[in-house]
Formats: sequence, structure tokens, C-alpha cells
Amino acid sequence: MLILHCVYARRRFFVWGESSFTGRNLRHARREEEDEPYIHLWSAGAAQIAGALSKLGFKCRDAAGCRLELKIPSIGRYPLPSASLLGEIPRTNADIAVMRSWIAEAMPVSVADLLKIRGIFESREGVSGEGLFLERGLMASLDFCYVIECCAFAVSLLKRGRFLPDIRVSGDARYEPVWSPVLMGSDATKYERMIRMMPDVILAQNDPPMRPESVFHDIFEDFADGLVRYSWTQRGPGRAVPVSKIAKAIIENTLISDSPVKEKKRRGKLVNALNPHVLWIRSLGWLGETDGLSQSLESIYGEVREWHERCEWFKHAPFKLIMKFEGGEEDRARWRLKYALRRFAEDDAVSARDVWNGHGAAANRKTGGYMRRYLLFALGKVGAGFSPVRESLDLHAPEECALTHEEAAEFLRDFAPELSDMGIEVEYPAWWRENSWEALTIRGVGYDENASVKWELFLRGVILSDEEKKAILHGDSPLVKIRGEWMFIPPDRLSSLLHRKARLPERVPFGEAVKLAISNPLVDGFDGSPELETVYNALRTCSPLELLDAPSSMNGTLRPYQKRGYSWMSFLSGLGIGACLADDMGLGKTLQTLALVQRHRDTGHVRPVLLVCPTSVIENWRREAERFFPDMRFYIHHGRDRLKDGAFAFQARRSAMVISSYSLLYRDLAHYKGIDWLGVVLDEAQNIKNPDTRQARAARAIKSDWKVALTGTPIENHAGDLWSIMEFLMPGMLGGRRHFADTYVKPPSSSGDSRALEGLKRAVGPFIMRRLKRDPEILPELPEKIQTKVYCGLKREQIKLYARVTNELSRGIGRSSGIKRKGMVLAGLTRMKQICDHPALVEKDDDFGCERSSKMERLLSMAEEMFETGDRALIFTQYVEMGAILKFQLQERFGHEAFFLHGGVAREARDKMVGAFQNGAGPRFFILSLRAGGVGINLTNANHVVMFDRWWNPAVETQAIDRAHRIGQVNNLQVHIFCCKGTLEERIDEMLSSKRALADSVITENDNWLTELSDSELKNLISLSPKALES
Amino acid sequence: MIAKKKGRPPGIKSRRAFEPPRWWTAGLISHLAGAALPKQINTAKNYARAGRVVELNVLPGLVSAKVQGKRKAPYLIRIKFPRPDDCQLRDILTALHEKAIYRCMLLSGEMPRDLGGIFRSAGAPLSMDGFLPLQQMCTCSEPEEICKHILAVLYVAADVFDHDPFALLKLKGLEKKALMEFLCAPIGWRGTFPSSDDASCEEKGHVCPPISAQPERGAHPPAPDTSFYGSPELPGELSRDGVSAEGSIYPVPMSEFPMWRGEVSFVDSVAPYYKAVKNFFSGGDAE
Repeated sequence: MLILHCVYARRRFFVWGESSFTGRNLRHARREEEDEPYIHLWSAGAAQIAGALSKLGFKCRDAAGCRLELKIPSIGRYPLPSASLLGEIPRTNADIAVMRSWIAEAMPVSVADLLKIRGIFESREGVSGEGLFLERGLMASLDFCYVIECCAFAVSLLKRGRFLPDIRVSGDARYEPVWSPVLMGSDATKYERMIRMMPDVILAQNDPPMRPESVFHDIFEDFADGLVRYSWTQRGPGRAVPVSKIAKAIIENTLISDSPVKEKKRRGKLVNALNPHVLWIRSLGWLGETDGLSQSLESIYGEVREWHERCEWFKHAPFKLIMKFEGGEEDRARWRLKYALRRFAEDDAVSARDVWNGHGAAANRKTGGYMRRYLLFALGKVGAGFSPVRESLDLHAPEECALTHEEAAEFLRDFAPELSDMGIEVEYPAWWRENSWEALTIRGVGYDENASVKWELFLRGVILSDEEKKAILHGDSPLVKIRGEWMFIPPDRLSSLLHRKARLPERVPFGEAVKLAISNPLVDGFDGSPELETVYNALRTCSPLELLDAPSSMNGTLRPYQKRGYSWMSFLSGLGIGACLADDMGLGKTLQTLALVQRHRDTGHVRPVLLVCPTSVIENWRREAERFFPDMRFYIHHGRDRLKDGAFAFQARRSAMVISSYSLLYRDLAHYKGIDWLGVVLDEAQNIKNPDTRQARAARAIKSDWKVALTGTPIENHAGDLWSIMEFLMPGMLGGRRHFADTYVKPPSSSGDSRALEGLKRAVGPFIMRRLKRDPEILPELPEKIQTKVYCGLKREQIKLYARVTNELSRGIGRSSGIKRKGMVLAGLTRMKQICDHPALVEKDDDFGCERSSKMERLLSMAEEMFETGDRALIFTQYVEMGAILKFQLQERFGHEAFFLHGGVAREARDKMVGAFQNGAGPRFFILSLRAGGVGINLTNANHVVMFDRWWNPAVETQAIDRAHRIGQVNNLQVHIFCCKGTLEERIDEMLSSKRALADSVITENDNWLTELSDSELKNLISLSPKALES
Repeated sequence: MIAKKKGRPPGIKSRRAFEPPRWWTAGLISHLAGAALPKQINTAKNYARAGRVVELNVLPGLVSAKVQGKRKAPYLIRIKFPRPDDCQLRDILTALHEKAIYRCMLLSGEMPRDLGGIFRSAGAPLSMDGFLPLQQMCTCSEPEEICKHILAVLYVAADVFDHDPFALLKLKGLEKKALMEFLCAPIGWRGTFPSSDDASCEEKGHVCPPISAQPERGAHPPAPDTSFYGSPELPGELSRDGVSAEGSIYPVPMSEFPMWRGEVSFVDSVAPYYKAVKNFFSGGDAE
């Protein structure tokens, strides 16, 4: 894990980092010169930081970086690590931290770089106490996040125009042009808060120490100033200058002028160097040194300050201008804007008349004077942009201004939002609704048995008449009075709707009509056709038309919510509409899907369904299908000896379901395309979230009557991932990809268009059904404990190792007996189990890669789902080394500490871990080695238990599960028992479950029963079945 | 009014040569051009540019100044100008109150174009004839009634008026602070306008020293504690939903820079920056 930090020194930002360490790193502290501080023990090298930054999307100009001397609180010989997931420093006698200097390598970054990083940060959620997790093995520390937040804060001010040109006096008495941020209202509060919360580590480089207020002032000013200048260099049509070039120039200080190209020459020519005002404003766009300007700027410093003061006065004035839009009482509109002032924190507005006359709240001479001054100032400003207001100022005491019809429309549409941006309050008339034209929709009417339908324009549930259309289309402004009410409908909006309406088909079969209405954002249903209306409404509300019974051939029952999900999928697939079932893990998506397939079979369909899932869960599908639908004919298209061409087609056509993996999806696409599929189901559909991948393209290429996507992650929250999945389910519904990205996944600089996202959620709502375990209507339907087996394969490396142990053991047991045999058997079995866990356990190497063990891969993908939904899990393993690997992998993957309780943990630390996990503040994952943990710990805050490897006797397992499943457990508990198929784990599992009832005496508390098996029994136990190989 | 600077020739340097005069000083400039021989004018201009005028005070009806001549002690100069009497002043003020736009502009430090007309119709011209000195006096021994020192002072004064129209209004008896107060008065207010000859009501430019990241004495090194890498509340602050604009209700007033001297107006010359920023941060779709 690499944790990036950001330090601010000498008005520049530097990125340095800490990487995970073990005891080995701590042995020798190094330094380059005798009188220098030591090198920070686990600081990252410049190359490593450059690598991490390039992962964040930009190249470092100078890969060598620089060295910083940082003052860091240290205990004894060690600096304090910023997060416990980096590692643990040994305990020393010293218990008080003191500040010590350390040397760390760092990369300088510019404000523009940080702006770019901000974009990356914004797309990630959830800053925890340890920082922000960026990607596998990479985190941003809290102080880094803090700097980025400063950047975001500055951007938010800039977006609202809250910045003014200024001159500042630098430390060495030079006068410099600068853009200074303007803090008003809640911004000022935020500013104060940010100062209070500044992590000291940001100042670690500074010597002598500085006050946080002045440092924050500088940081913030640097951001505001730097970002204005940066955006200035980026202006112009089409932003012709490549960003990298600009960034390069920024660092090298070569770009000294206000135009990105060839400006060096022009600088002298265009600027009248003798006019300090012009020089000041022009130099505000330059990048780089402005030394030469100091004298000129000094000469106008006083004027600038005076001007600023006037602005200060205005911004501190406790009033707000209100513009009240009135009129429209009669048909001849007589629109007007009335002026008033509202005193801050008071509800009642003071009319302009009272202000001018000094009546009411303005009676006090001093307050009244202030109010008049404010009113004059504000009106003058508004008048500069909106001429009706300007004209009213020719009066002695203007109280309102009259607007023509066009001006009124212009005001409402264009100018009023601008006023709100300026902080002026606009009181809209009661009838005004932003985007009121959205009340215009298309509905189908008069659907008859000939499947012909008439599409009509509706306004608020009533057909728009021809006269009304005419009034809108030929009116002199978008303000129209319809049905006695004023509305704002731009004529071009209506004409485009009419145009689109004309393109809708006039004759559509029932299913098509519904599909059209649900997937076309303009169409909102049907009128006068009860049947269509019912179906449409059911779709809109994401509920099944009727609750179906479980297929009769099903061996088991469906819980009520499963019945709903299954009925809903049948309902949608029957109409040929794509469905995405996004239930929480453990709610039984597999079972509902199998029921769906069987249902189609039962209703007379004979064509097969293609099910695509990750390789690691193929086995689970197989077992579930065998268990619940023993009569269902399915074929697993997987492995090297999978069927080809004609044989495949034959086999596929006679199966109800063909199960295959994502990797084969594109490799065998030609085969799949040859089959006339009834349906296609994608399990773990987030696998196609990137529409450019081969599997996503292949998934879209397969034709079928209906499509279903299954996922356990809340996909509707990731707008970016949605397009690909929806494109698979309902091709074309969300429009082109670029258009989609522009509308919903905007560039990071302008986030927060929540309205667009609302619209998106509404659009995709009918296609996604998501239930959570904690939903009140689901919770009671769930059993307290759901136990599932998770079957994994073995990797090639594991197979090889496993086979070697098997051979050695079967050779060995024949030749020995007694204690020796016993020891050999136990040792061999242990090694086999370890190989199933992770090859590093027997190879004794440092490569903890999860690609070496399929159990590990499976666990991580499950952990991802748990993490997304906020679940907590206990992970049990028998091997301390395995625990360490799990801890390492989980921390690398999620950037949160994972607790690991083993024999070496002191009692105190153990209680702390348990406490932290139980009160919910601690980590999501708790790894335990059973023997070390002992009994008597209560970990009821977990709602998942993972048995990473098998114990020889069920009692121990039950005991472990009980850790989480005690009284006080409010969640439903899901137990996942990992098992490598085809290995001794599976065989022991079979023995345990078959013998549990009758042979408790055979399977005793300890492992002895295993060693007492006969040679042949043993050989049978350990032999490797060919199905063990994963792919 | 204008402080002396160390290490440079003392005095006020006129920048007159570089810009055309504003409408309210155009009268003074044209009047000056005809007031003396061209040679004398040139000398006066050079005096003004060289910073020979070392002090200049504008008072109602009076400009007093010191000019560094050939002698060691500077010459004292007093120039009297016509100023409206109380009756004329009332007319002017009444007219100023008549249109809200005049008040808007004056309050933000701008000169309404109609001001010349208002003064003229009150019988007390602001520009042109208003600049005909009633009486001038210089302590030098030169024989001319209007010596080069007086001319130099008038050039510098024109410069000051150009930059600060309130100095001109003060010369006309409308002292800035009182004028501001009058402009904010309620309708029908019958107060008296204080006419003042007192130089003490002169305003001093208040300069706030900016905060900068200088090492401050008495600041302690951060105490080594657990909040070194970030306080426990910080994550909460960082995961707030962006920075809300809510509650910050006041606009940034981009008023005209009162003494602006560029070819393009102040607001127009900074507007491109604001546009660039807006375009850049709203994804380029705003225009």
C-alpha cells in the first residue's frame, strides 16, 4: 500500500508517500550525509511516487523529484506511521512522541495538476479516517484529501465568480498581481472550518513554524490565483492548446503571457508599460514571475485597496435585493418587477418605497441610509445587465420596472438565474415552474384490437388542443396563457415534440407499445386503454403484473420476495423488456433466475437460455441448478474439451440453459451467434460495465428475445457504468454513449447536476429491481442464518503442487506405520489444505498475489460486494500466514485496515479490536485464526462469516459461526464456506455431511479419525479429481 | 493626499502625457493650453512630469501646493476657483437626487455624464468655465501673473481630478463623505449640507496590510499528537456534499474601478477573465 501525502512549502505543493513496511524495513536507518537527518524509514522513492501519480493520469515532468526535510512526530527511533494499515512499529520504551526531522523524496506538483487529481478524487466516494482509497495498493492520505478539498473549495468560489483582481505584497516586499478569493456568507464559515481542521503534516516542511491561518490563506490564494490563470490559458475556441503543453509550460515558467501561443513577443508590444492599471490587469493572466512590475503595481496599490474596501462594504452589508416578478392578472399581461430589500435573517421584506421614504424598517437614519445605499448599488449592478431596470433608474425613487412580453420571458428564462448567481433573490410567480414544458408529454390514445394507436400531446393530463398549439407556436414569446394559466413553453420545444410524435409508429403490437412507452423518455403512458395502462403502471412501479407460483418442478420453495422478483422478471421478459435484478448478495438471485428459465420452459418455449457468469461461480450455478431443478437440462460450456460447432449447437439446442463464462463469451461468440436464444442472462453484470471491452461488445452482439442482468452492486449509483448494462438490456434507450457521458457523467469540473441524475434514475427505474437485506419488507422473510458453500477451482500452480504432495504421501504411507505414518498423514493433509488456500503458504515466498489462488480471487470479489453494501465480515482461517496474506490483500484492495486476530496478539489489543469492530467504527473485515482467538468473544456486528478453509470437524466450525451468530444479532447472517472442488476439501465436506448424523463417534473433536483411515480410504481422500482445475 | 516615497525624486509625477483627459478635466486642459506661451507651457509640463510638485491639497474652492523651484525652499502656491454658493449648491443637490442613476453611479465612484449639465444649469459650471481661476498666488519672484509653477500645479491637479472625480467635487464644495450621506438620504430629507473649508476632513487612504505567510514569532511547532495526520472530524468535512453556495447571499460587486485609466473600461477588461473561468469550470458549455 502506498499512501500519498501532500506538503505545502515555499508556496509550492509537493507529493510524498509512505509505503507498507515490515520489521525488515525498520532495521537500518540511512542518511546520506553525516550531519543530515535520517531518511524516513518507509517513505516512497521519487520513482514510486511518479508511478502512482501517472496512475492518477498525469506524467511527472521531472522524474528525479526532490528531497524534503519533514518534521514528523516520532517515537524512539521510528516516525509515527500515518495509518495503521501501513504496518506496526515495534514497541519501545519511549511512549511520548517528539518531533524529529526525516528526509523524504517528493515530487513537486502544480495547481493545475491538483485540479486534475481533484477530478479523480471526486469520482471516488468515502473518505475514511485513513484517507481515500484510490485503487489497489494506492491511497490518498487525509492531508492530501484536504489539499484537494481546498482546491474544490476554490473551484466552487471561482465558478460563482467569487474572486477579484488584487495586488499583494510578498514576503520580500515585492508587489505582485494576484486574484484573491472573496469569502461571503457560508463560504467564510467553511474557510474558518478549513483552517481549524488543517492537518499539521501539511506544514511538516516548514521551518520556522507558521500559523495555520497564514498557511491556509496562502494555499487558498494560490489555488484561486493559479486556477484563474490556468483557466485563462485554457480559454479560446476549442481549447487548441494541448493541456500537456500548458502544464509543461507552467512548470518551466516559460509561459509568461496571457495568450498560449507566441506571446513572449507580444507582451511588450501590447501592454502600455506606463499605464499601471492596464499592466495590472494584463499581468493577472500571466504565468510566471512578475518581478519587473513591482514598482508600477506599488503606485496603484492604494487605489486597489480602496476599491477593495468598497467591495468589502458591499459584501458585508446585511441586506439582499429581492426582485418580485408580478403581473399576468388579466390577459393583457402587464408584467413588472417590484424591488424590495430583505434584511439578513429576517423574513419580512422592506419595499423599495419604504426604503426610499425612510419608513418602516428604514426609519432609522443610519440603517435607512445603509439600505438606500445598498439598494442603489444593487440596482445599478442589475441595471447594467438588464435594460428595463436601468431605465427605471431614471426615476427619482424607482420601485419597480415594467416589462414587455418578450422582456418578461427573457427575464424568467435567462436573466433570473443569473441574478440568483449574483445573490439577488427572485420571487417567481406561483405559476412559474422551471422547465414547465416538461409537463408536455406524449401519450397513446385509442389503442384498439387492430393494434393501432394514436399518439397525442398531453399537457398536465389533458390533450393539447390545436388552438393551444397554435398559441404556443405563433405567440410572440414563450409565455403563453393556456387554460387560464400562464405557462412558459418555448415554441421550438413544442415543434420538436411534434416532430418526434410524428415519427412514432401508428400500428404497434401490444408488447411493442408497452416497450416503446417505457423506454422512450417522451412517452409517458396510455390513455383510455385499461389493459395497456395497467401494464404500463406496473412497469413504472417496478412490480410484477401478477404473482406467479414457483415452477412445479422446483425442488424447494421461493420466499415471498423471491416470488416477486421472479414474477417481475417473467413479466418483463415476456414483453421482451430487459430486466436487471440487483438484489443484495445472498437474497437468491441464482434461484430466481433458475425459476425464470424453468418458467419459460413450462410455458412452452423450447429454445435455450444462455447464462454467462464469471468462471469462479460456474460451479455454484451448476450445483444450485442440480439441487433445485434436478430435471432441468443444462450444459456447461467451459473448459478445454468444450464442444465445438455442430456438437455445440446440438447440445445447446436440446438444453434449457447453457452456462458459460465471460472469457468464452467473446472467444466463442461465433458459436453463440449461431443459436436462436430465448434469453441471455449475465450474472455479475458489472463485468460489462466498460462498453469497450470485448466481453461487453460480445454481450451486445448476441440476439435473443429477452435479456436479464444480475448484479449485487448498486449500479444505479454509478452513472458511468450504467450505460453499458442498459445498452445490453435495452439497446439504444439511453442514446449514444457520448451524449450520455456529456449529460450524466460530466467532466469532474462541473459535477453535481443532480437534476440530470434524477432524470436518469427515473428513466432506468423500471428496469432495475433492487432489494436490500435490511429492507423492512425483506428482513422478516429471511432466515436467521443462510449457509452456502462457495466452490472454487485450483490454479495450475496449485494443481502441480497438490499433485506433488499427493504422490509423496501415497508413496509414503505404504512404507510407514504408527506414529510416523500418523505424522506424515497429518503433515501431508495440512500442506494440501494450505495449497488450496494459497501456494505461498507452502512455497514460503513473498508473492501474495491473489491470482495464484482462486479462493483468494473469489473472496476478493465477494468482499467487494460486501464493501459496496456496507456489510461486515468475519473471515476464519486456520493458518496465521494465510491470515497475513488476507490482511494484506484486503487492505491493498480497499484501503481500510483489516483486523487480524491471531495467537501473537496481546489481550489488550484483542479487546480493542473487538470493541472497535462491535461499535461499528472499526474495519469492515475481521480475520480470525480460531485457535488463537479462543472462545468467548462476541462479534455480532458481522453479517457475513467466511470459512476460508475447512476444519476437520463440524463442531469447530459451528463454534466459529456462533461468534457472529449470537443473541443480539440483528442482521441476518450469511455463512460462506469456501471449498475447493475436486480436492480433499470437497471430499471431507461430503464425508462430514453424510456422516454427521450417524458417525459423530467416528469424527471426534480432534483430527485423529483422519489418520486412522485405511491406506485406500486415504488415497481416495487425497486424490485430485480432474474437475479441480479452474479453467 | 499623496505620500512621498523614499529613494526617488520627491513629488507627484504627472502622467498627463499618456492619456486623453476625462470629460470633466478637458476644460481645464484646454484652458491651460491657451493660458501662457508655448515655451512656458512646456516648462510647466516638464515640471509636472519631473515631480517638482511636492505637495498638493484640494479644498473647497482652493488648490494649495508646494513646488520645488530653483531655490532651496519650495514655492507656495494658492489657486482659488469659483465654487457654487449655497443656493446653487442646493439646486445641484436637488438635481442629483432627482434620478436614481446619478446616485448609483456616484456611490460606486463614477461620474454621471449629466453632472456637467446639472452644474451648468445651476449657474456654476463644473468643467470648462468652472476652471477659470479667480485668483492665483505664487511665492516665486517671476513677473508673469501665471508662472510656470502655477501651471505645473494645474497640470498635476488635472491629473488628480482625472483619477479622482471626488477631488473635483470637493473643489466645488461637495465634500465626499457628506455627499455620500446626502445621496443615501431618504426622500424629502431637509438636512443641511455641511460646506467645509476645513482641510482636516480630508480622508486618508486606509491601507490594510495583507496577511502573508511570514514566520510569526510566538508560533509553536505543532504538538506531536494523533491529529498530526488529520483531526478525527476531517473525514466528515471532506465527505460533505461539495461546497454549497447556500447562505452566501451577496454578490461580488464588480463596480467600475473609480479612477480607471485603461483604453477599455475596467469591467470590460476583467470580464474576459471571468468568462474564461466560467467557461473552463462549467465544461465549456456556458457562453
